Amino acid sequence: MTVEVVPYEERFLGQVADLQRRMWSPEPEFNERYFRWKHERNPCIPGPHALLALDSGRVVAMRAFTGSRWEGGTLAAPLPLPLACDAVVAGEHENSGLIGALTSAGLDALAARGFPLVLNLHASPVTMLGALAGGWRATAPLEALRLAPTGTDGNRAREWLQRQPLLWRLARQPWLDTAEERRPFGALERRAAAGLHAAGAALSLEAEPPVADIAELVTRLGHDGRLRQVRDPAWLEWKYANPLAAHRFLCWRERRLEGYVALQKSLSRNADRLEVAIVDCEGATPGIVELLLGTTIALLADQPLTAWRRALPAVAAQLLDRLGFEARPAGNALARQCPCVLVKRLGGAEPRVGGLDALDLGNWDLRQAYAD
Amino acid sequence: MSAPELRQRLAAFLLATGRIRAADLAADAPLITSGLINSVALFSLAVWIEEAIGRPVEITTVALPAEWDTMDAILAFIERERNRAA
Repeated sequence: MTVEVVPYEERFLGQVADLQRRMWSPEPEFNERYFRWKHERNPCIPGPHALLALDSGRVVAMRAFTGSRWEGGTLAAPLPLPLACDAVVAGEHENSGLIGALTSAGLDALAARGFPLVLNLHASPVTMLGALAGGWRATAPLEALRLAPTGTDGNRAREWLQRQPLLWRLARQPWLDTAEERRPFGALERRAAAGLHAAGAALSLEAEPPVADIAELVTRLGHDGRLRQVRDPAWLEWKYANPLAAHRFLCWRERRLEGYVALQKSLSRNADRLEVAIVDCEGATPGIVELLLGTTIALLADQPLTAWRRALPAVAAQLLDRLGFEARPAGNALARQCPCVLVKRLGGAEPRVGGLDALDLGNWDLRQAYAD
Repeated sequence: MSAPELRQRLAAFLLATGRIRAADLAADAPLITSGLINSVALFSLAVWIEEAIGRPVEITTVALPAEWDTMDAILAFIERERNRAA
């Protein structure tokens, strides 16, 4: 058996979409749209930057890198950095070292293009360990938090099926979908329609990303010098067009946008589609941040909510503690150390960005929205 | 557990991963940098090391290619961490 490593080409898209049924979603058509969005339309670094392993012409493994742009520190202009993502290998090739070989080839290509660093913001425990063994370095964990709902059943039929040895595949069938899974954010919209006007005209729940308003608010608020992704209209437009996710935006508007919480649900049947992630949050004052988060939690009382503690303004993290968010349950101590920022230095003596130590989590202003 | 016992158990664990032969288990033979231990086996090894130490390891602070690359290095790491905890 001879496996060759080749750069991605358009003719492989169908096979990539099929292979990614293991990771992205069980529906290849969704996966094709996702690949095009993530790797062909990324506004930060023209792509795709994906490497494939072919066994007799068949795609059996993939490793990709998508683009990001960072500001902060002493950077005079946004710095593009690749994000490692989308590692997947066919079952019969597991444990054969293919992901390591693809990653290594990808890093060589990125080094040749002059990128100083590559990041990974969304590694699983196994990926994290493989990366650390390959010479990547890691920051402290971002501290995943979760608020479990009370008084609801979730999707019990699906949970039961997932535990059965012969029946687990049935758990992905559409006929098991709950009303909330069929219409993501449906419950939130009903409650918002009934209740938000009582809270004052300033609050609104929006389905369309208010791209220009968010970019204006982020620019107006400025930043504290830590490294963060550039949230300009091009990036926001792209980010919230992810075909495997649904978003809603709880906004506080006076004469202009003064604060927002961005919420995300996965649309993939490989993921928990009831879970809502707080992926971004900003406010002109701490009071606005508190009000937006408190309202979010009240409106989503029956759905699990997740956030990264280190990805939120300090006032928000303290509020989540008071409202009952706890460390996300993890099977072992290794899982609790994910997610973190994984850094691979491609050149230079130290992993630094804009003069700041990239291994010090205190130098990053991270948002969950930045993860791939 | 005595040092020879721990070494014997580590060797048994590594052989049980199915990727390492007895001939690969020289005290200073590279396990990670040689590719003998892949990320899935590394995950099991990390859990095994945590059990041997008796508490979680802050894995992000460990330079795996240096500190866990050989049997000798792994045993020295466990010894250091046990002493640190004591």
